[in-house]
Formats: sequence, structure tokens, C-alpha cells
Amino acid sequence: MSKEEIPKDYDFKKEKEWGKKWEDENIYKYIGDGSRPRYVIDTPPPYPTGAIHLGHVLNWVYIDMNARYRRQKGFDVLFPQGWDCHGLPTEVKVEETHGIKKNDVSRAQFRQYCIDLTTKNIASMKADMKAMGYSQDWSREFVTMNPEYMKRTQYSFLKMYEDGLIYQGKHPVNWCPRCQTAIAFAEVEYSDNTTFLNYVNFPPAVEDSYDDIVSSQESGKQADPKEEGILIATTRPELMSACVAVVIHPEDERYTHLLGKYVEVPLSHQKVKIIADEEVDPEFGTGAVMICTFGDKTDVSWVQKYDLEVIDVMDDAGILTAAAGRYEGMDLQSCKKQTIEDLDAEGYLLKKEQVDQNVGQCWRCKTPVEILLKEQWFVAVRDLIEKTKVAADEMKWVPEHMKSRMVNWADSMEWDWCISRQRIFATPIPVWYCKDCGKVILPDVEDLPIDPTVDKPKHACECGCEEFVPEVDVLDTWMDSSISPLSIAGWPDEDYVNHFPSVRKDTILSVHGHSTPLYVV
Amino acid sequence: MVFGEDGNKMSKSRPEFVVGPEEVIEKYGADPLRTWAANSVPGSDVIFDWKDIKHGYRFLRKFWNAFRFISMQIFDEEVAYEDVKDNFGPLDLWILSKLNNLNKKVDEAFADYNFADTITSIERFFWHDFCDEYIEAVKYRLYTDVSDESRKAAKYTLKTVVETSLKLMAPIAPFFTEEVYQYFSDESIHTTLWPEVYEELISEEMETKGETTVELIDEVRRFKSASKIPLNAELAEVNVYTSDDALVEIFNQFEDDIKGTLKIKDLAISQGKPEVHEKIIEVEPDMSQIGPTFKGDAGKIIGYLKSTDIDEIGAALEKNNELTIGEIVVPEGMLNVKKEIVGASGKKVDILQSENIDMIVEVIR
Repeated sequence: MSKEEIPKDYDFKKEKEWGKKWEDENIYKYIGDGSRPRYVIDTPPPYPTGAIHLGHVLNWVYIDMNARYRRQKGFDVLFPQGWDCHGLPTEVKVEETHGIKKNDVSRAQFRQYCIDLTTKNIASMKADMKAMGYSQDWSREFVTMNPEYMKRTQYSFLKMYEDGLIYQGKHPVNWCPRCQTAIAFAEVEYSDNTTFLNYVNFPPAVEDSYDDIVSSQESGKQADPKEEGILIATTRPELMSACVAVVIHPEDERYTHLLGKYVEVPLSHQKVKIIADEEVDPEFGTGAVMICTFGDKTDVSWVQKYDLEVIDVMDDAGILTAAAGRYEGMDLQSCKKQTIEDLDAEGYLLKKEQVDQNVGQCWRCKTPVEILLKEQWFVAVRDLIEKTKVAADEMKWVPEHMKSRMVNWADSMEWDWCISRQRIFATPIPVWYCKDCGKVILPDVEDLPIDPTVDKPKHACECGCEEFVPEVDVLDTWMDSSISPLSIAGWPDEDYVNHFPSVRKDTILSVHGHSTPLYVV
Repeated sequence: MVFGEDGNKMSKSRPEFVVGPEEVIEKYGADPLRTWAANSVPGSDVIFDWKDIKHGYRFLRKFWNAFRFISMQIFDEEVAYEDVKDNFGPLDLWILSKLNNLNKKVDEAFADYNFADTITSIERFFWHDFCDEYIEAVKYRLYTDVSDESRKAAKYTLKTVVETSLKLMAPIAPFFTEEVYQYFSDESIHTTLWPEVYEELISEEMETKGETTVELIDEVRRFKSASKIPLNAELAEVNVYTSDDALVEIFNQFEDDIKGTLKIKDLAISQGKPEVHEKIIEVEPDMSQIGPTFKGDAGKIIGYLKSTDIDEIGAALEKNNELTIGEIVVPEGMLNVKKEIVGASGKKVDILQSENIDMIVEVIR
């Protein structure tokens, strides 16, 4: 360029031209042949909302400065960009835009709407990123909703299933008894109404019988309803047959002398222990709470935390089961009414008091949501906690305190990772069930990706049956994004080891945190 | 997390405080926004403030203007390191030592993800040491015929500082650095390697000496500016006094640069203190006192003051604090006496006393 032509003022509007030139000349391309040491960046794939915001700018400028600096220091830098496409916000946006609910159209149609919206959003965010001057190698872009990426996600499912890390198990979900479907926490709406708080006496269990209490379902009326035990104030007396413990605050002096003692649940007569937990609000009701399967979210966490028994008192339609004893076959409303009458008649009910209530309800039909145990898919993350901590020790952390945040998080893992979701816009769980024997049928790896609601298994079940029930649940979007370090290296193609640092010592992987932490291998 | 100018987390619920990247890019380009991001600590909360964007933009313009100003000099002759390495002037060695230390510091900061350290160090060096001091201090070597060697050393130094600074800044401001680098090479700056460190140019001694000299230059420059003397106007004589032997040695070593930068005709560096005293240069009657007191004799006093040599009046006043005119005795309090400070030579001087180093400067305009 001629030196005489240097303009008087710096013209930042020329930024666009430089961006175009870099792209045309492919200057950020990752070579990957090992002629230079490799530096691989696991760029967090953002959710394609359609526009980048200043929070993105902060994180991506950090990543981009790092990429540019490492190139200057002689590294062959792989700086890819991915898009974490699946999830509820897109589904909700599609419903708004098209004025539909997801079940109003076919799964395929709904998915297509989501893909169209996401494609548009990716394009505009990509333009935003280019305007910021980020130096990604766009030939390495990955899009989690694309078949080639879904193939990897499903392959990771099959591999983990094979390794015994994925299993099916029962897990509490938000359930609409009317729609008979699980709904995500984000789909639960809350509404205010009034209800009655019933003050019910739980009489003390006869001490002589303590040794016989092997199960809280131990029955047989032994206690006197009038004998003062512990007073419980509940809005859900219809769940008493599923009560497995009574919990108080550890510093509540009204009750601490009762800790470890047993009381008898009225009407159903099981004996339950009195335990203490910080989560109890001593100011609410009487300060003593019954734990049921499952009145609300706190019940779920207490049941997990204290390894309490689970009593299924309700079926998918919200009808009481045999476990509810004399209330079997009733719906929840009738059961509630009958229970209150019985409590009163038998002398357990001391008083009733009107209270305001905030009830979770189904966003579609406004039916109050129940928590039910349903069959779900899990990754056994708790088996990986120790491995995770060892790996954390081998990494360099920036900033350093993020390491303890990660380790604390791993240690606090109370239950395994539930990876199944009852949605549509996500990677399908690659599973069918044999219609006759119920056996889990997996696809062949070379057929991935598959959608069990569309595709069929290639072979008959071992039992000879040729009819199958597709798994309609889909995978949590984190199942997509959690394989990104492997995916950007090209996994499962065998060559991936050349771009993955645990295998090659001359390759550095830089993992930038999905929220604020950055960590580097 | 990003906080808005109102101090709250930027969120859709307060749209008036939400700033989108596109708005910043439209007004100032992406590089000032990147500079804002770089000047933060990963993992901490960051406040968005337009002031920071404007500051980043101003720095880029400052860089551009400096580059443009010296571009006439640095591209007209090719100067290789080998040609000048034995001819560097003391201020060249000062800025080159600082440049190479900056290179190491920024390199380390990038490696440790201390991004805020990278941008603040580069800015302080380029803006303050290079633009404010070095460029001003080499102009005389470029425009007047000091010597071929001196001019070439200055040109090499200017070019090296700009080119190296650009490469250190390339990860932060990729567009701006590319734009400037195009005048240096046909290659993209983003395919060049990190600039080499010249260990032999790093000298703590030259840095300290250079800072001390800059202290002296700044002191005199501030005086010129406060006295409304154009910066390129000549000063007849500057005498620097210090009780510190080391400072005498430093100022002697940097004598050419001090004289050249400040346009000093005669510069003297001495150990000790300046010999200065007050001298009476004008005496006028204070008529509000003289009239009522001396009445008819007032005319005599005025006549005497007009007709007598100021030095004679001054000598008498300094000796007796009063003037004896025949029978009349006028106390000094009834006169308006104007004094000025003069040096050993008897010429009027301005005295500048440094707050930071042991140095008194006597300036004769």
C-alpha cells in the first residue's frame, strides 16, 4: 500500500473489508497435520437465540484473543464454532410464532418448524460473530441438530449403554394426570388460590413396638388418636397413606425431644420416624412436616437425601392405588374430601384454617401437577465423580477457584443425571422396545442417526417378535453438547486421537467454560 | 456477567440499559468493544460503560495519528538492526529496553489469561512513553542534520516500536492492527509470528536513566506550556542543579536529547544549588499614601523616582528599607516595589523545582 495514501483519520468502517479478506484467504484454517504443535479449543456452543449479547462478547473475545495469541506463538489452532440447537425455548418460540401447541401438528412438522427457526437464528448470530472479528475456522462448524452430529450423540448413548453407564430407572417427574404426560419444570405454571390447612394429630407409636418396625407400612391400629403426639398442618391429607417420615427443624425446641421417636400416621396407621432437617420452616403451620411420595419438590429431595421408602399411591390418571388402602380407586379430589371427613370422625382433626396457596399446574389444561415416579433414562454420573476429580487435578484452571467450584459440584451430586426428556426438538433416544417381551432393542451403529418413531429395527427381537414400541422420549440437550471436545476432534473417526490431548502430548486442549469458568488441559 | 451503566445486571426487563454489540460496532467499530472486553478479568462481573468504549476508540486514534505522523520517516529508508545497533542514542536504548520488557510482559499475560494486563500495559507504553515522550524527543534528529547514524537509529527505533506494538495488540484489536500493518507488509498481521525479544537491548540501567531524563524534559515542557511559550521555541539557557552526582552523569549522557527535545541553546548541568536573588526592577509611588503624608513634597518624590537609576534606588531600598530624598524620608511601605529573580549572571530566571527527583532547573528565556 502506498504510504502517501494514509488517510488522515482511522476509518473503522473498513473492519468489514478485513473480515471478508481473512475469510477469502482462509487464514484461520486448522491444518492438523502435526507439522506444528496443535492447539484445540473446545468452544462452548451457544444456544441460537438469534443475536449475540455483551455476555457472549466477553466470553468470545477471551477465546478469540487466546486463539490469535496461540497462532502467533506458532501453534496450529483449531477454533471451531458450534450451535447447541435443541431445547425448550425454541419449541416455545415456534408455538408462539405459529400459534400452535406442539401436539397440534405431527412430530416431524413441529421439528421442521424448530429447524427452520434455528437455521435462521444461527445465520444471524454467525454474522454478529464475524462482525466482532472472531477467528473461528468455519469449515469446522458443528450444529447439534444436524444428522452428522446427532449420529455422534446417539453413538455416545450406545457406547455408554454398552459400558453400563446408561440405565433405566424410576425418577420423579412433574406429571399432568389429565394429559397423562410428564412436563418439564419450565412448563409448570403457577397459580394462586386458597385451600384449607388441616391440623392433624399424629399420635405416638407404642414404644414397645419399635423393634417390630421394619417397614413404615407396618399396619394395625395401635395408637390412640387423642394421645398427643405431633401436630401436622397439611394441605394434602389425601397423600397421608404415602407418608414415610415426619421432619422438624433441628433447632425447634418444641420438638427436639421427639427426634428419633416414631409416630403413627392417622387412618393408614404406618409408623414413621421423626427426623430433623434445616430446610423445614419452623414458622409455617406447626413447624412439623410430613414427607410423602411425593407432595412436592422438597419431598423428593428429602426422600433422596434420607434414603426414605417410596410409596406409589397414585396411578398415571391420578387414581389412588391399593397402597392407599381404603381410598383405592378414588380420584384425588374425592380422596381429599373423604380423608378430611374420616380424620374428623375418628378424632385426629383438631382444626381447619384457610390459607393462600401457590399451585403448580399444567400449562395446557391447568390441572394441578403431581409428582410421579416414571421410568427414565440415566447416566451413572455418580460412578464418575472420582474420575472427574482426578481429571480436574491434571488440568490447569483459569481462574483457579473454578476448580473447587467444579469439584464441589461433582461432590454434591445427589442423584444420577436424568437424560430423558418428554419433548420433540432434541436428539431421539435410539431405542425400541420389543412389543412382546419388552426387551430394549438398539440400532446398529452404521444406521445412526435414527428416529425410533420413524425408523424400524432391522432385526426381529430374540423372542421372535417383529413388532416394536418406539421410545418417544428424547435426550437432554446436554447430551449433545457434552461430547463437543470429542466431536470437534472428529470422533468417532479413528483419526480423532490426533486432535485429542489425552492421547497426544503435543496437543493442547483449551476448554472454555459454558458459563463463566475457563479451564485448560 | 455484564452490568449496565445503571449498575444492574443487563436484562430484558430494563431495556433502556441494554446495549447490543451491534450498537457499539455501528458507532465505534468492533475493536473498541474488544478492548473493553479485554480489559476485564475472566470469571468476574464486568460493567458496560460507554466511557470505556470511547477510551478504547481514542487510543486507536492516538495510535493511528502517531503512526501517520512518523510514517513519512519510517518508510523512506530501509534501516536494518545490524546497521544501527552500535549507534543507538540513550533515549533509543531507553524505549527499546521498555519495548522488549513489554513484549515479555504481554506474552506472559496472554499465556496466563491476564487479558487486562495486556491492554493496559500496551496502552501505557505506547501512549505515554512512546507518543508523549519518545516521538517528541526524536523529532530534532529527524528534521535537523544531527548525523546520519543518529537519524537512522531514530528511524529504526520508531519503526520497530510501532511494528512490535501492533503485533502485541493483534489479538485484541485485529481489525485496527491489520489496517496499520498493511503499510508494513503485504502479508496479514494475523499470519505473522509473535515478535522476537532482543535480550541484549533490555537494560534496567537505561530504563532508570531514561525515566530520570524524561522527568527533566517533562518539567521544562510543563513550564513552557504554562508560560505560553511555544514548545518548539528556543530557550536561551537552561541550568540544571542537583546535589546528586549520579544525576549529573545521567543528564550529561542525555544532554543531546534534552537540548534537542526542548530546543535549549545552552544547557549546563552542575552540582549544587542555583545562585539566585531577588532584584528590584521597578519602584513606583503609592499615591494614596504619599499624597496625604507628604502633601507638597509628593512632586519631589515622583520626580526623584523618575529621574534616578533603578539600580541606585534598588540598592538604597535593600540597604535601608527607605529612600532618603534630601530632607524627605520615604518608607518602603509607601512604594510599590516590583522584584524579579535573577541568576548568577544577573539575568532574569525562572526556577523549576522537581517534586520527584533532586533537581532544580533555572531557565533563562
